[in-house]
Amino acid sequence: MTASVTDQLTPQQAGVRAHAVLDEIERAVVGKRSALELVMLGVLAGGHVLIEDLPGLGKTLLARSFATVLGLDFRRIQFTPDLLPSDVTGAPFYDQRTGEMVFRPGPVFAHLLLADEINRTPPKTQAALLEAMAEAQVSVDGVTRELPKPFVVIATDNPIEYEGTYALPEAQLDRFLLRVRMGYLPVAEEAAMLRRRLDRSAPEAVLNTLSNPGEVLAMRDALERVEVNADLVDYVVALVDATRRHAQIQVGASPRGGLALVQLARARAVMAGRDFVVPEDVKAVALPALAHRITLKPELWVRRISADDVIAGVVQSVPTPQTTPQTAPQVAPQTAPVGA
Amino acid sequence: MARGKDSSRIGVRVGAALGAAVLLGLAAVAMNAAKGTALAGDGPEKGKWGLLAFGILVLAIPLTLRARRSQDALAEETPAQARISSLIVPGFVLMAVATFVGIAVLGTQSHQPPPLQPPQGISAATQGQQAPTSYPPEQPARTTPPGQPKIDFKSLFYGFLWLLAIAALITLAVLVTRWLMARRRTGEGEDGVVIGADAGDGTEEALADAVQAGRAALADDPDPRTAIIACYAAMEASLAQGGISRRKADTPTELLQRAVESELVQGPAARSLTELFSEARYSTHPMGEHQRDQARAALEDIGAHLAAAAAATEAVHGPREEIEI
Repeated sequence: MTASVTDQLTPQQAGVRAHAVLDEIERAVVGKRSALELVMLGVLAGGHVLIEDLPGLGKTLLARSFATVLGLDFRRIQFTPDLLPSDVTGAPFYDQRTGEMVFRPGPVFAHLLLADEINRTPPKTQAALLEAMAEAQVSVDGVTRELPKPFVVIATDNPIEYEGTYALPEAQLDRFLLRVRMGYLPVAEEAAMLRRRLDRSAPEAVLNTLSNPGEVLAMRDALERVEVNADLVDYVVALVDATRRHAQIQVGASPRGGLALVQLARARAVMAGRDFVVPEDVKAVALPALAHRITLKPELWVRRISADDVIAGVVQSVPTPQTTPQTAPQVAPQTAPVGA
Repeated sequence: MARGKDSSRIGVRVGAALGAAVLLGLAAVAMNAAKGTALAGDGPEKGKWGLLAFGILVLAIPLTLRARRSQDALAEETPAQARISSLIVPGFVLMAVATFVGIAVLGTQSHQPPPLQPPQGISAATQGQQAPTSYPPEQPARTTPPGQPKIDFKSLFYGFLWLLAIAALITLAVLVTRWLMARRRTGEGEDGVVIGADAGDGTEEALADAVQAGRAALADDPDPRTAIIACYAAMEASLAQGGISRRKADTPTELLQRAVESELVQGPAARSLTELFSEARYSTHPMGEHQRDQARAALEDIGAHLAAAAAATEAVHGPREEIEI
């Protein structure tokens, strides 16, 4: 099932393996297939995921399940108001035996880091993590240290508490490739979850490891073989541009938002077993990729209009590519398939 | 059904507007504001500013909340609608204040005729003479009985007329706007479905045309890719003629979903053709003859479904115009 680091995977093979991973995770995280797929898209697209929802919906379980099934080294930081940047990145300490300062890596040196309740810590500590996310490296005492590959941060954000929290600034939210909301389970599925818990007589399902860091990198590499039609690139740009011109949006999506949209659409194509992106891919990921990157006009909070509502309206108003291509389609030369 | 609901809503709104006008009139009468300000008038509720403000708030708050809810219920807003809706709360506050002040100052300017002056000639002729003293001495004439306020019904009547005229104008403007919007929507309903397109009337012919055009495209074009795209485009154009038009933000899957929901096309065949189109349109794979064959098979399935539908229609409604499939 697993592949070595040097193996190349076709988009179809990567899609099959990604679905196998999701099927295994779904044994533990019940009834959240769409949220799991979005997190998987973030992992495949090489980004970081922000999960924003109420407590008790399985955010931590989801992150831990991904780490287990993907075979990734997993660390967790519970963000608190007194957490220091060195608690995240690591710090040098004095080794009495050698008499030297030795760097002790912090929890950020892991493949998959769960940053729990990231909005509970002051901006200084948030910035330490967010720099590591953007650069995939940590600089301490003038020495730059690479983070392991793949490096994925799954951060959770509690949206209902305001006392003692520090909201993530827009510029830092932009570092997350996508934002996922889990939501409550439907009543029938919640009952099924409780029955499963009673049947297995154990707190959590034991998951099998189906992958390894090398295969995750190979799955990410498969995205580079997914083609994006020129009309779809124009469509992505039109969507991003529409967020900048919208009457209800104060600050639209950044160019990083367009890049995120393209990479997530490619990841979705991989999950569908395709090596080309279709408009459905772009529309499906527009909301999780863009909604956290925009700033609404201040008066809209009175009308209880959320960024999700505005982005949904934008997606329904920007024209998709025409049925007939503007230019004659280019045909790629026939090449031998890669991978096993 | 929907039109009947709209009509009843219009009726409720007109009734509410007229009711508000009557309430305002009653408030003016109660304070006899036409005599002077609400504070200075001599009506039974004279000077009860708190009552006046309370009444206006009781009317304004539910109206504001209702307008806000109806705006929030809109799934999508144009920039103009957004600007209008952002003015709802300040607009209602302004109207409430204007109503309050308007009632308070209504009739501040007195319209009573100036006191009569004695004629100049009579005054000159009787100059120097003392007026005879009557017995018993005349009391100053009373215009109204003691304890009974004087009501200037003429001013009140004109006030009512003004209020009714304003209410009627607003109602008329709303009705005309709605009529114009409804007229603009005529011909195309929501969800891109053309109103008046009967699935049992013109749609099957249109789809039969699509099948013919698709067959021609698949047979004539030497390149399978452009043939598949042309075949799908023909089906899309005929779906539009048949009532399911492609909206500007529609993806092929969304259009297919609506066509299948309306039972115009068969699910698996149309889905197969849509998937082939997506691959032909958005990939650079070399498309082979087997994909052209798949498209042809999907098209034949759609044609067979149409033929079956035409036969069923004929069995129910009798023979109709021949549809060649």
